[in-house]
Amino acid sequence: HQLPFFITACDYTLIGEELYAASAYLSREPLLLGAVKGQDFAKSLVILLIVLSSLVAIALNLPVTSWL
Amino acid sequence: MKRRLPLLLVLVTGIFGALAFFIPHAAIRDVDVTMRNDILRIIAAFGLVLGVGSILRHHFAKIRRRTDNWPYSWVTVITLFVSAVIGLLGGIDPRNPGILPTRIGSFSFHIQTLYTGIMVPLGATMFSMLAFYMSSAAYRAFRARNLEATLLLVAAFVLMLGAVPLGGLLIRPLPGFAEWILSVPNTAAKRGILFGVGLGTIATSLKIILGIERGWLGGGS
Repeated sequence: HQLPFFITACDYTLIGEELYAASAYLSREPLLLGAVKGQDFAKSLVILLIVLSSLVAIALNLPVTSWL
Repeated sequence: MKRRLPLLLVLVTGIFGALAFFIPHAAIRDVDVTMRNDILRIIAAFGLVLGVGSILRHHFAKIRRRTDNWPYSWVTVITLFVSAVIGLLGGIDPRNPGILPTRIGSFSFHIQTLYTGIMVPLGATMFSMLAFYMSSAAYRAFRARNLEATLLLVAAFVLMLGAVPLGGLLIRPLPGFAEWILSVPNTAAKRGILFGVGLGTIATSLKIILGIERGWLGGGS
């Protein structure tokens, strides 16, 4: 909830997962870099699942479309 | 042993806490509920003692060294002790007060009065000042340097104008459009950020539970 205050008051703001990416970027530790790579892979998997599920829900005319 | 015991505790409790979420057996759920409601609260109480000790040490050091704004450290320490005394001895329920009387006539000074009479007005004052500070900071900071900055500027302008009654008087559909920006694109972006944060939290928690990340133990590597 404090994020809008940070963005207007500070020049550079790290939001959410940028915190993990920034620590990996600065330290270049293999452990942190590997964790960021794994998170990116999981994120792309989640995006793929969301898109596929939405297409299937629309195609099968499931009741979920009422809240879109 | 000094490092192995905490690592072992974290491994066992971390795995149990994660698995208990997925196993619907009554015995597992009972142990999980006991751990969350009783054990964690007792550990948090110890953490509170540590926190109070740390804050007192920090502020007494500031007072001793006469660093910048050291008189405010006295304000912090005195209010800490006053509210602790009122809470511990005065009690919370005015029908069953402690050693100290918590009511003089119509004036009551138990913890709830401290909160409603001091904390709430202070918080309202701070957020009122923040509203003006944010508007002035936004005016100075939001410049249409590129496409993303222009979108941010336009969205901020629409939302600020749509939130006040004048916006609806000037452009009738503006408050509805501002509400749509908050409830649709903004919520979508927030959920995307939450996904990323959730995945990062899972990765960090797994590293701590499995003992790969040991920074929380303190000391050297």
